[in-house]
Amino acid sequence: MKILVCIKQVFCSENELKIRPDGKWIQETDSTDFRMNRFDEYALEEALLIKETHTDATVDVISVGPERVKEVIKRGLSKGADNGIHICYHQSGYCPPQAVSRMIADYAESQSYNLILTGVMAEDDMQCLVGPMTAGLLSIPCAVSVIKEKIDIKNKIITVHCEMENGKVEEVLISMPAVLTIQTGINRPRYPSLSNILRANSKELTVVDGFFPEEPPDHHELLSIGYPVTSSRISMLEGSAEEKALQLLSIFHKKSLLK
Amino acid sequence: MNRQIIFITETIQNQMTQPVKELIGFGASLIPDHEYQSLLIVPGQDVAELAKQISSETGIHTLAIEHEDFKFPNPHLLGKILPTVIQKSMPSYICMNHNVRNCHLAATLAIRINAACITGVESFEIQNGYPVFTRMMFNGKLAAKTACKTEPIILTVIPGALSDSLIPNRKNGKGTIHVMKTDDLRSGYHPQKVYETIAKDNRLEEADVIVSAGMGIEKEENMELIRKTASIFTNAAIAGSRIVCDHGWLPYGCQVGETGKQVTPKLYVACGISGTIQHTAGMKKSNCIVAINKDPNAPIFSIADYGVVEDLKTFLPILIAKHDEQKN
Repeated sequence: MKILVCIKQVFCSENELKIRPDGKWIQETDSTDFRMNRFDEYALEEALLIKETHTDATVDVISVGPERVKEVIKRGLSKGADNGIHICYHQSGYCPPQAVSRMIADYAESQSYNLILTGVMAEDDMQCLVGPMTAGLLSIPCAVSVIKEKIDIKNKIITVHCEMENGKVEEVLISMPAVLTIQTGINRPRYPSLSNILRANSKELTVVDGFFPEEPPDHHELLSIGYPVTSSRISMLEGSAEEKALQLLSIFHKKSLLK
Repeated sequence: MNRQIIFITETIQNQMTQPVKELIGFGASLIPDHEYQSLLIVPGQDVAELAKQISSETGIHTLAIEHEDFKFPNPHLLGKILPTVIQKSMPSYICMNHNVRNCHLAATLAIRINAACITGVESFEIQNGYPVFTRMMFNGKLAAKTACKTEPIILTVIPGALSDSLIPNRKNGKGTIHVMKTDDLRSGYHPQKVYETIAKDNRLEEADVIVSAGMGIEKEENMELIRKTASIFTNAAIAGSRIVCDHGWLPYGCQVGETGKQVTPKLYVACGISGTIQHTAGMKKSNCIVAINKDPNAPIFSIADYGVVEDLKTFLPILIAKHDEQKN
């Protein structure tokens, strides 16, 4: 069984995000921190767990982006993936899901994967589109927000449990090959092992050129990003921590909620 | 020429999962002169009656698409059937409520009909005659404005994007109803059932106060601070964001948000919660929201009534101590 995991390198958004002067994306400097999209960490772990039960399975990790995304591909290898594929796409700034999924599908088509996994969304653009668009381009089924899967390799059927809203779950049978987008909490992503780190450092990545379309395959344009407007109803408490605590207690007291 | 808008709803066992009235209003307001025709698509196993009912309530034309595999949501099959339906009417917009299955459907359609697609739309404004859509990025920290260069435009719209009062009144008169049977179509996606996972535990529903933890608590030991804070109130429960539950620091039954519980306590104290829409969908209707976060740009402050910019690890002990002092 051949498994492909699509991973994205994202900004560490816990840190301060500086907006570029043109307002169109985040300012990148030498000290900007990046990491693997948290949702994709769970997708990769799920692939590695599948490999543990299906010993013939191989796990490839693929990422689209500039030179720096090699870091997350290496991280994927150091967790136990077999092969890393880097699709070089140097255009700086925001790369829309249509373009990303097209580049992934172009590569995946030639490799006949049985299963393609990715996170349910990326933490940066939060579109939930790359997984299902890749499936659409490859004309294979897709299941989104998967929290459990069982593979019947003989009959080429996967039973997936997909998370809905309000604690509901939909159980679906889908045929392989398929794309699954993985929800967080499905597993506990492992840390890299020392032997895998050493292996990852010496492992050659497959490098593929991303396209530079004259006419980008996206139909929309990101005009600007900015901090959202805060609500007018909020009162920000001022003063020292002690003063703020007293103000809060007085608010709680007025509502008769305290012991 | 009149422009077209297509709306798509979702059903489970022939019941709609989300109301469509607000969605229809959102679509209508995209076309300022209101010169448009619209069609609501209702997929389901046996939904002709439902389509008829919506049609008579809203005056909108409806198309019920029936298939045994539409008993439960099936974005894969719908994505297979809809292109021919859509290409007949060449709509300007295709609108659906935002959820992850509709993102799947939107993605499939965008590929099949080669159209623009924007998910999680929170609002829009008309600039130079064209809509500019606002949606959140970076866990709600930043808002992005996006414009489309081509039509049709496929949108998933976050409920609450438009208030009911703005929904234009439709002309009286019933819309037409069509039923399309598609049982002969086969696909590799067969929904089996929908089941509930949340334990029937009503503590969050019954509490006057919910003290809720986000990743700002950093480690499991600090859950104790959340428990102690809850103990200063007469009737409080503790809860957490999804990621806190993913770490196993709280059971999933305590998860508040889109995929967890929706709560409306008298007071919601959000401690170290950044405030993604996935979380706020479950608590924004609380009577009073207090947000404690060390990041002054955390999106939780945009929906809170009272904001405290402090690190909860140092602030909550002070709050508890001050309460104990006052009590004695």
